[in-house]
Amino acid sequence: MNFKIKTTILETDAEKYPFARRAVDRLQSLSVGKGEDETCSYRPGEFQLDKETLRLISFPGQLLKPCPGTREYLCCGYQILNIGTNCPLDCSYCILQAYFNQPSLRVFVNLEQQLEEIGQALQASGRKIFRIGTGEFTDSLALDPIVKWTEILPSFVAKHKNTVLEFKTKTVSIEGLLSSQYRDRIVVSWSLNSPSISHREEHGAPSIKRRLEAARACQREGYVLGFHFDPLIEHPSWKEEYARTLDLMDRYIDPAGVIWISLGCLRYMPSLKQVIRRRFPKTHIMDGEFIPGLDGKMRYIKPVRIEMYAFMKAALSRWGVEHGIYLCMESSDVWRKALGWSPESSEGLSRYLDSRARAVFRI
Amino acid sequence: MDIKIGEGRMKDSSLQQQAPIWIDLDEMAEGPGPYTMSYGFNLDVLCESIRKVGLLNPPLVARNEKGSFDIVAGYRRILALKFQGEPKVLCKEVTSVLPSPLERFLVNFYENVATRKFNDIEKAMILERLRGYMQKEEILASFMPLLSLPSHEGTLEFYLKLVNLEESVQNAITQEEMSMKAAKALLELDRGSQQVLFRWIGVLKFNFNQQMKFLEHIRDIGMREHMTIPEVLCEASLLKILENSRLNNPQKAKAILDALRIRRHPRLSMAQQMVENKISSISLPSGAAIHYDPYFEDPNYRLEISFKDGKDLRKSISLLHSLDGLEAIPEPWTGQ
Repeated sequence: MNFKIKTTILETDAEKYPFARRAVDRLQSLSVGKGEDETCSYRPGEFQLDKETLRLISFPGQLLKPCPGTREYLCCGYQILNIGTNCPLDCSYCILQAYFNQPSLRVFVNLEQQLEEIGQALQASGRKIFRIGTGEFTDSLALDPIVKWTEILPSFVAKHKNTVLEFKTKTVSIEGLLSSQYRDRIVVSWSLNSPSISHREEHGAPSIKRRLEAARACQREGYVLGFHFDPLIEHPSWKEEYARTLDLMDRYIDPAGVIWISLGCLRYMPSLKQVIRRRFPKTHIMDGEFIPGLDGKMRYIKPVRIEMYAFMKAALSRWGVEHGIYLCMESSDVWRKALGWSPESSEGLSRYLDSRARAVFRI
Repeated sequence: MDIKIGEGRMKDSSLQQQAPIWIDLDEMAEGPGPYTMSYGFNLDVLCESIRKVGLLNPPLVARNEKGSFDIVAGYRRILALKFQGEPKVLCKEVTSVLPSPLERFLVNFYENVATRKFNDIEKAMILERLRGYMQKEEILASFMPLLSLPSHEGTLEFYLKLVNLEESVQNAITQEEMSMKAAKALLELDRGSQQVLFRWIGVLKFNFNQQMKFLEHIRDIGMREHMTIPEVLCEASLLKILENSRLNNPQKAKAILDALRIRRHPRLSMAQQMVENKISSISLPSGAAIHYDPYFEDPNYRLEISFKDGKDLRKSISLLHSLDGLEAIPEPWTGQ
């Protein structure tokens, strides 16, 4: 862990959960206070993110929800397991800066109780494949040394044969995974970028090389890997820069053990721009030609996106990945022009990735 | 400060019992002083009122360390009397009734908040003064709602910064010549950039939407091209538009924004221009129009035909069918 938790707060009812007690034990040397849920509300982006405070919370809502997606672009049909919100890393482009209206790192301590209910729903769904991820609202592994999600989730997945779980991370916190006995239907995936974007914009995250070293360790221990180039960012010499990352992948990873690689160009809610300008005044990530997309988010003009995707697809193909490359939240015409084919609909994309999961894990 | 209703009533009655006294206007400290909260007001109506019926409510004043009087409430009334050349004013002297600066400030605040709306600069002044007396949390919980502001920390921080803007910018906000959004954007910049941008906004009299586009384009261009904002705005191409005597102000504003848009979005602007040229070169029948997504995210064009009846529709379709040059309408982004 290369970040610091200075304060831990047990919010209302949290202490009755074993998950919370175990986390507090692991954090013993730190000050732990009891707190109420804040009564003061914030506008997203208008508060100090307070990444040094960990709040352990009993989350009253449903933890498993489909990725919201949008009608206008193809969505992969992912299910988000909401294990916590906010992230100790501090990437300049992170959408969470403008997404949540509450500060601090938040971890939901009633996860184990909720998994019982989720498990019943999964079982009732027969052969439908559930591709579940925990890395949408937080990093899947950054807090794992404290909260040990890797002790809870893989054993849950083992019991539900129609479920694939993806840990998505930028960290090298893989100790929990390496000591786990479960491998089946677990995907460990890393968010990657060009080395220079990683260095300048992904504050607090390990270098690309270190991430790939961790990925190699997981692959050697029998894990199936995934990668996510999201956000792809147009920056000087971006082709050479992304090619450097592909070179590193070639050095560390066997492409045969990769289930999927997603590509997504930088996009953001308009309100995020102000937040980024304020928090990272020197960043150049918003230099490109951005336009409002059909979903209201800002995104690069189409020719830029197509060029970036096509470049990445060609490079990944040369590396040896032929299957499982997909675009995150893109339109069919961009798919066709960049990748040469399109799943045509969100359902089509979902089927494509399900079939990939079935093939790799023999579901 | 814990403001108790009972205590408040006691003060109120003490204030009421206080007998007014005549004070020379020369004895009043210069300026609005530490307790008043009026900014960007017009004295004409008040002067007229005083001329017609005299001063009905005596201002409150308190003696300061220098021996002159600070105005606790009634700054505008005193200013109006000075403006009319009056030598004296009938005031209530509240130095001992309201001993603490916070009490004086709050008396004035509550008198004002009940009788009028504050403009945004006045709200900023009030919040800044309160910040000197109490914690943020109390301001958020007790005073932001009274000022019709959301109890958000970010909003408080923004208002606290407003008082640092130059007076000319504050005046523009008060007179609604500059939007609060634009003020917020200005506040994120250094003083030099604020000054030059404000000058341009003032000269070109951009509407609120245009102000935001102008600020965003300039900031993006400066960032991307590694130039300061004053450097961008000193460029000959922009100054030429500004100094073009054949253009009126709205035309100059539009030309400046167009120039900045093309520079900020060169490929999009070129694609838009190409499509627009092709479409406008086609003589569509009357009542027919071709629409497209200005950002070309939707890959399809849309044809709209207005018609009176089926016969009219057939005529339009027939004319469209025989039109030359339809094939010239390009797929968006062709050639990019």
